[in-house]
Amino acid sequence: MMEAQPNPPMPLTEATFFILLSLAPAPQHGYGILKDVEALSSGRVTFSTGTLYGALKRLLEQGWIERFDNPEAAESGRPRKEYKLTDLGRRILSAEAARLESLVQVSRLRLRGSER
Amino acid sequence: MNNLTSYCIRLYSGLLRVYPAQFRREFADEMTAVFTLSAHESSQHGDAALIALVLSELRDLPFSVIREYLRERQQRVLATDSGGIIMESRLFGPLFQLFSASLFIAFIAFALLVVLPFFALGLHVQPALVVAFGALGPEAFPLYSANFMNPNPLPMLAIWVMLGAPIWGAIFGGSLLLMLGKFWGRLSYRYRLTGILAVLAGATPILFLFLPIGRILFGWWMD
Repeated sequence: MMEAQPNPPMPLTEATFFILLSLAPAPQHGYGILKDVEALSSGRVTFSTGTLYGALKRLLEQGWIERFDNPEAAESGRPRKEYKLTDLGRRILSAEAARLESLVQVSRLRLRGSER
Repeated sequence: MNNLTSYCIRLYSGLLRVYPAQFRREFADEMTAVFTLSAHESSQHGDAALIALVLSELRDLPFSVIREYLRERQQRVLATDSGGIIMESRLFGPLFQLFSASLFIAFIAFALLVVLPFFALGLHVQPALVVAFGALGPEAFPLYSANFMNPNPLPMLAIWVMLGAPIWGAIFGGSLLLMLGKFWGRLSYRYRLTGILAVLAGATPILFLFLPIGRILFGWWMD
């Protein structure tokens, strides 16, 4: 596994942001992430399985998410693989959310000012 | 599970073989499981929804496969041995050769289909396209075979026949090259730059036929 990045690239891509966001409340398996991202983006962002797993691989390598076996949810007798946010991933997601929030605040202030 | 669903799952599972071995070992089972769930869900909305799912996977597959090969290659280049020698000998695995060979053949086939009539008809794009689409069958493309001046964008079907069929057909054809792995391995290493240039040359018609940037770059050249 590659060393986790101390200074992650900001802003995150939309795909990365939605994957991290879908893992924020609880661990998920691949299909769960796929459906959750679709729901979170109101159907705007849809992944093919290849794109999803390419992104998951990259996030695993960066140390933003972790993969683990969930023996309670078995598929064909084998424990199902699930993904969860690491502390680093959660910090990065929070930082990105804060960045977006400040952008929205500034935009609202400026738009309100221009309406007067 | 109906026959079409199980066929699509088998097809998808087979197509995963084009990914790099390491990626496949790590994720192929999970990807098949996810696709199986998606296929079951889509099949409940009818065969058309299932086929749409398969087409969207096929559309993204070449890009994600190339991305994974490039990423794997980049990691191998970065991984140096204790003497600092780049481990380049492993950069061109047999599946990479197969995939690159397939794309190479597909793009050459496509380029021949469009570019040859283009030159034969005195650098007139639209008559060349009429010939190209006509060769594919006027029944499939009555509108574009008869009159390519129609301003509507090409339907997805036409794009899939023109781009998808040669690519996927060539992947099966490329499996022959896998049997000649040693031969192609040497060739692909020695002539990789020529191959990349040829693929770019083959991709040029696609660029200016189907993407707006192509029309901006080559618009002056069109009829």
